[in-house]
Order: sequence, then structure tokens, then C-alpha cells
Amino acid sequence: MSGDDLCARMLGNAAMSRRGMMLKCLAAVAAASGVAGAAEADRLRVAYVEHKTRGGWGKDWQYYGGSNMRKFLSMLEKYTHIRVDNRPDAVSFKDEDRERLFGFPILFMTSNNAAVMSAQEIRNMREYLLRGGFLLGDDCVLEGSYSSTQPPKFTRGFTALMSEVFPERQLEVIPTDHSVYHCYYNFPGLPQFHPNGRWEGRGIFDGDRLMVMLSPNDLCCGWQFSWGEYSQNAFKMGINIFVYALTH
Amino acid sequence: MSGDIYLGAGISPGGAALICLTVVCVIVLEYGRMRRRGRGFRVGLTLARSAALVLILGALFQPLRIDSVPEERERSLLVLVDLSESMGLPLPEGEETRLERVRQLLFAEEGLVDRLNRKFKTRVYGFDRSVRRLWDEEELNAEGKGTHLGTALEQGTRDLGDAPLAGILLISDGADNSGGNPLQPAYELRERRIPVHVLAVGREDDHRDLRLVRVEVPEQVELGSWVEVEVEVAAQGYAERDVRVEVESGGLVVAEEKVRLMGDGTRRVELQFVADMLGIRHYAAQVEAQTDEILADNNRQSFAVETTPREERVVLFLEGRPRPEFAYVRRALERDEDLLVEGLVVVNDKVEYRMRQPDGPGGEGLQGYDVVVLGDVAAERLLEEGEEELHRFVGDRGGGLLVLGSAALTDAGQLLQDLLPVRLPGQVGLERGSFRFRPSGEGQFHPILEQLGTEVWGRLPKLAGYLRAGRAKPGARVLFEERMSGEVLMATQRYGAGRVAFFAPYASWRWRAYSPVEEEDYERFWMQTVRWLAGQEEQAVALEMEKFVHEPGTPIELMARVWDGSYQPHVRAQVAAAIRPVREASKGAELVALRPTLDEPGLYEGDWQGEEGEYQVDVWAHESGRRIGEARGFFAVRASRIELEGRLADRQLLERLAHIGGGLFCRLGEAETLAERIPLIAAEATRKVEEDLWDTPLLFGGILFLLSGEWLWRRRRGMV
Repeated sequence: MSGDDLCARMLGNAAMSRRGMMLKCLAAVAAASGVAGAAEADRLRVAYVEHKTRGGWGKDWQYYGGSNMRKFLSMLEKYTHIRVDNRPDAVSFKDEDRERLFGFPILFMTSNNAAVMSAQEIRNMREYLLRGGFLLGDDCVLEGSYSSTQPPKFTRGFTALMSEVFPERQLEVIPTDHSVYHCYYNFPGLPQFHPNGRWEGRGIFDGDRLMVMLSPNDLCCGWQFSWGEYSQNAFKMGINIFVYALTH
Repeated sequence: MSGDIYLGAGISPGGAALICLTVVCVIVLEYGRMRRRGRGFRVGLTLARSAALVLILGALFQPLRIDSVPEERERSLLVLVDLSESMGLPLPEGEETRLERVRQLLFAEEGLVDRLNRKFKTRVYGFDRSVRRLWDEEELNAEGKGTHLGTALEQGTRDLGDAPLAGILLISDGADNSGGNPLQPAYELRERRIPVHVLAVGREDDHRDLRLVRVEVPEQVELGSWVEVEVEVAAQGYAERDVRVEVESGGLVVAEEKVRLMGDGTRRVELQFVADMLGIRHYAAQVEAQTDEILADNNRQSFAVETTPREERVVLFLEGRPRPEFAYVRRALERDEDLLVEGLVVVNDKVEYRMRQPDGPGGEGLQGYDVVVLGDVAAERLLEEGEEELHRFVGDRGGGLLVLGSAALTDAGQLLQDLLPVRLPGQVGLERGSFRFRPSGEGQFHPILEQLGTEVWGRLPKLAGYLRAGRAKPGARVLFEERMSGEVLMATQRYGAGRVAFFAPYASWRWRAYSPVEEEDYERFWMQTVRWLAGQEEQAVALEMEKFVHEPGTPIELMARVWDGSYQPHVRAQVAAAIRPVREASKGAELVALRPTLDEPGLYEGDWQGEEGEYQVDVWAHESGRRIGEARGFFAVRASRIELEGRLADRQLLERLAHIGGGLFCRLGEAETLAERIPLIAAEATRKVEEDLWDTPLLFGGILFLLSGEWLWRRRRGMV
């Protein structure tokens, strides 16, 4: 899919052609399915990635990714038809978790330290992503790091990790006209989640599909804390990322 | 006294009554002025004069009575004798031919005709492809080039006009080759209380035969796509026999299928092969000849298919919410360079996320799309317009529809349910646990699954959750079933001009996620499914020809259907057909104008007649110089050998004919008593009788009596 996808369009806000009416009828059908098709077994299950870090106390992925993710998933279900299990699970890329791993279409990985993974984990991560999985990495930046000229530890570690997982691909800056910025909420420019800097997402593509996304300054703290407009932007961007991952 | 009364003077009864009333009033007024006379005298005179004048007026209006009375008429029996070439074949027991035996039976002294004549007025007709009256037994010649039983029944009865028919006696070997259905006229005759009795001629004791009665195949397919050939094999005397049905081209078998014949009757067989060469290619479908089969020539039918370059297909994927199933299926479809996928996902009640393709269609409604995929779609809110559009899209226009299973189908509307190849149970349920699936017995040979290869089935992963879809509808094909319970997980069917597939699992994405990257079964499965669904061309014009091979000397009927942009019948099109020999393109085309039929809007017809050969026919439809569409087909003109091939009497057909026609069935050996067994049926003819009511002595006597009495009375009172 090219990046030329049209932006979200409000239903019924313009004079409609017959095609428009038809599609609206069918869209109405589809919309209703959000209610009627609410099969519990079909609920989206999301997991955050268990991983070791260089430094930290070893479980910081759980600390940073826990309650804020639950809060975000509740918002996701509230504002979209996406049926979500809002109790995020945890899974690693180790062989013992392989069976469970592929049952999560979206994984969330966060920390404020650099992730460290074994060759086995790296191999499984590559397999997971190429089979169609989506990985969102979010740097839970410590407050002091925002102004640093050097990228924070998680971002550096994540970039190095990705170069091992996909030596043939690059973590590249996602252009602002990419669907992920427009597929639900429209961000005309780079969104801002923190008073100290703008957010510039990076990603790895499989063809046209964005399969890995790195949020270099934290989304999840925006979900966790009440930062007014910044928090709203964080929720909106998170919803955009999930809508993108579930439609591409 | 029965019947209806009419006035012969051409005046209405109301008008006549008014005139009579006026006359009576004048008389009453006139006699009313004779005050000097007694009241009784005035009333008496008024009544007598009025009655006399009313009777005179009544006579002048010429009243008459019309009644229907039963009429005794001589009953007729129509004897129809088959004069086709096959009747000239010898009977097994001697040198005598079938027709000679019939002649002997009919016209010998005290033969069947003589004995029938004692009960009926017998009229003998001969038939082959047409019907004619036989005046002499010398006219019984087996020279006809075909046997059209239905035509014989229809034309024969029409020729007799109003003559009361006591029945029809059909004498034939039953080798009908009209291409039509001879049972329909028999049924209609029965409705008119004209029984059809059948005398079967021919060899019956050793009737073992296989023959192809029907071959259906698309005339145009795209390069690399599957050509589906539907063959109907009629078998007699080969119960429990395995036979091979195949399609060959240039001596090379391109598709074959082994089938077990369960008993006498017909068996439908589907074969597929890949169209791998551009252009027109000739094929033949055939059922393997058996060593003890007397007749093998009718085991084969030829046809032609044109392979055209591949075209891009446009898919519209409608989804009720962002979910992995949408992302994975869409991704799989986008692997096919010939598929252009547009998506429409409802994110919430106010926002839809539309994924349009730059080269996508720009028409109205679903115009321009080849396949619609309905994801987690609830029908409860499917507006009628949407359902009807889908119906027309699939049924009329030949579009493909893929319905993915979801709880939303619980409330599927009737129109959507009609489209589905499964009959949803009253209470649609969701199975939420994990399950394994496998192809069904017939599913393995479906074009969607066949191309995947059998090695795939061993590595199908566990999935989670599916919609309990109930049973497959008659005519639908089950592709996947649940491994333990055998519940239907995927089924397909043809619906009108299009195709529909239903897929019950609602998390097929796990198939992709749990399969190694290098295995592309999941992608191939979805691509093949949508390719199969898109197999039907968008139709603005469709050519309809009953059969591929036509006999020389007979007009070939060309029929075309034309639709407008909304798939409604187009009634103002100019339609023409160009016919050219396939192998001699330089000969140029012959043009035939097709005119609208009176029977059906949007249907155009014309006919053409030509020499032996194979022909290509291109049909174009225009309106005011604007092109509507075109279609192409093929046919062949060659002498049919079916008359001589049909050495065996088709006893089954003749028996059914007699059964449906409500008459007797008998063989040659039982014909001696046939005349006595054919029942007399009372003729129900009636006759109209007219009787003048004014031209009677009683009426004139009454008038004379009244006028004379009135005159005498007045005279005695001194008034005259």
C-alpha cells in the first residue's frame, strides 16, 4: 500500500454521489458490526515485550508499560470500534514464548534503558515482524534527557537492536505525509507530546508497510500523566498508530 | 330455460325498456282523459292497449336466446410416426428395419390403424425435424435428419386445430436430438386432457450407453486463470462403474476426473484446467468409451475457448472496524499484482478510513469493482439500497462477493442470506475455541484449493473462532470443514451471473502469523479465492447460444442480453453481430442485426445460416453512437451424426414422456392390444345455439287477442 491513502473522512459532511451513498450504506453496515460482532474471542490482545536492559533494575519495561498502556487501551476502545482486551499481556521473544508470541498482532516495547537481546530473541523478533506483526517501541525518556543532544538510551539501544534484526534495512524518519499521521486524527505537522520537543517517529518498512515504529520521546508518559494538550496529542497519535497497524 | 337473452335489433335492454315505458305512459295519459267513462273501463283499456303495444315493440326489438349445447363429435387420435434416419436401422432380431416393422404394424390388414379407426378418427403424421400429414403408407421413409419429439407434439396438435383429440400416439425410438426439452409439450398436453401414449421402437434388451448430454464452459477466460468445464454424462447400464471424464486439446489431456456411476441417469462432473495460451483453442470433452459399449461416438463434444490477456481486478474491502483480519487479508491480496484493493474501514460511528487507489474506479455505486469483500459486517443496518445493489452486483452484473464470518451475520437480511452459499441457522452461534480445519472431499478439487497443492493441508495451523454457518445450500460447494465436527467453514456458490464465497473463521490472520515466512499458503489462498470470485467478466452484453454444434441448413438463433449502467435491461440499444470463420479470418465478417424480442426487455435476437465450419461471433451494443459493450462466442456448423449414433432406443425418455403425458407406454411386442387399451375420452365439444323469441305464433296470437278484445270492448260501449 502506498502512502497515498486518503485521510479519514467524516460521513455525511458533503453532498454525496450515488457511489458515496452506496458506500455509506455499506459503511453503516460495517459500523454496526462493531456492536454485533463483539465476540470476546475476537478482542484485540496487546502485549508489551519482556526484555533485559543495560542498566536499570531489569523490570522497568513492566513499570513503564503497565498502567499507562491499560489507560491507553481503554481510550482506544472508547474512541474507535476496535474491540480491545484492556489488560495487556507480556511476552518475550524467547523460544519458550514462541507459541504465544505470534498470537499478538501488535507488541509494545518501552523502557528508559537500552534493550539487550540474545541471538535467539533477535531471530524470533525478525520472524514475528515478517509474518505480519507490528512493534511499537517507545522511549520512556527521563525528564533530564529531553534536552540532551545525544539520543536517549532506549532510542540508541533500539536502533542498535534493529540493525541486528534487520541488517538490510534502516530505521528511517517517517515522512509527515505518511498515513500514520493522518489515518484517523490528522496531524498537519509533527505532533508534540512534551513541552521540550517535537515527536519525530522513525520506522522500518516491509515493502510499503510500516512494521516497526520507534517513538523517540515518550508516548506512554503522555498517556500516563495529565499534560493537557500534550497528553491529548499522545492519545491521538497512539490511536493513529493502532488504526494504521490494524488496517495495513 | 337456460342461455342468455340478446336483442337482435342492436338496441340495449335499457333503451328498449325506456321506449316501452314511454309508450305506456302516453297510453295512460290518453285514456286518463276519458273522464266520462267508468274507472274500470279506462284501466282495462289502458292495460289491453299497453300490453299489445309492448308485445309489438318487443317483437320489433327481435329478442333471441343464445345457449351452448353439448355436441357429439367424432373423436380424433393423432398418430405421430418418427421418420428419422435412426428408424431405418435394422431391428436386432432380423433384417427388418424399425420403420418397416412400424409400417407393418400400422397398415397391415386389420392393423393398428384399422382397429384404431373403429374407436377414433385416426390421423397419421410423420415427423423428423418438422411434422407432415401422411396420406399413404408409401410416405413412410426413414430419411429425416433429426428427431424433434417436442416439435412433433406441438406442431401435430396445432395442425389438427379445433378437432377434439382423444389422445396422441407417438411411435419413436426416442433418440431426441432437438436440444430442447420434449417433456414440456407433453406436460402441457396433459393439462389440456390430451394424453400422450408412447410406442417405443428399438433395441432395449442391451441398452448400455454413455453419452455427453451437456457441456458448459466460459467462452472467454484470462491467461493463467482456471477454465471450469461442467459436463453432464448420461449413463445407462453401467451402475457401479468407474469411468474417466476428460478434456483434451490436440490429443493432449488437459483435465480429467474419475467418477463412479451410481446407476442409470445423468451425473454432473466438473473439470478444470489452466488457460495457458493466448488466443482461441479448441477442446473436446469426452467420457471414456467402455469395451462393451455398442456406441461410443456420442461420448464426445467439442467446444472452443478464447484466452485473453490478464486484466487488473478491483476489489472493494468493507470492514466494520480496524482489526487484524482486515490488515492481513488485504495485505495478502495486495501481493497479487493484478488485484487493486480499495478499503473502507469504519473506525467509529462518525469516521471512516477510506483507502482509495489512485487508479481506482470512478463510476457510480459498485460499478467498476469486480469483487466486494464484506468483513465484520452487520446486516441489521444494511440499508435496502445497499442490499439491492449487492444483489444486482452479483446476480446481474457477475460480480464476486466474499463474506467473512462474524457475529454480525446474526441479523443478516433476507437478500444477503439469499446470496450466501450456506443456510444460516435461526440462532447463529460463534465457536470461540481453537480448532483445526481441513479441505472437504469435494473442496480439494475446487479451483481455489486445487492450485494450492495437497502438501498445504498437512501444515494448516490451528485457528481460533468461527461462525457456525449451518448447512451448505443445494448447489453450493463446501471447501473447508472443521476437522472434528465437520461443520462448514468455507463454501462457494454461483449466484446468477456472479459468484459468492463464505468464509466462517473470523481470525484467519493466525494462519499467516503461525506459518513460517517462506510459506505463502495464506497469501495464495486469499489471492486464489478473490481471483476465482473475479472470474466472471463485468457484463454489459452477454451472448446466449443454446449449443455449440448446429446442423447445416437450419437457422442459428443468436440471442444477446444488454444491460445499462445500473444493470437494468437495456431496451433502446442497437445490437449487431459479426460472424466470421475462425480458421479463415481473411474471409471477412457477415453482419446480422439483432432486434429486441417482444417477450423480455433487454433481450435481442436474430438468426444466421451458413456453411459447415467453425465460427466466431462478436456482438456489439450501442446507443446513439455510444458503445455499451460487446461479447464474443463461438459455434460450429456441421452435420450431426446423432441420428445414426442413436441406434439405441431411449426407453427412459419415452417412458417419462408417457408418464408426464398421462398416457400408456408400450413396446413393439405389446402393440397388438394397444388399440383396445387406449381409452375413449369423452369429447367436450359444445355448440352455440341461437333461438328467435319474437318469431313465435304465440306472440302474434297474443297481440291479435289483445287488440281484438280491446276493439270489441270499445264497440260494445259504443265507442267505435
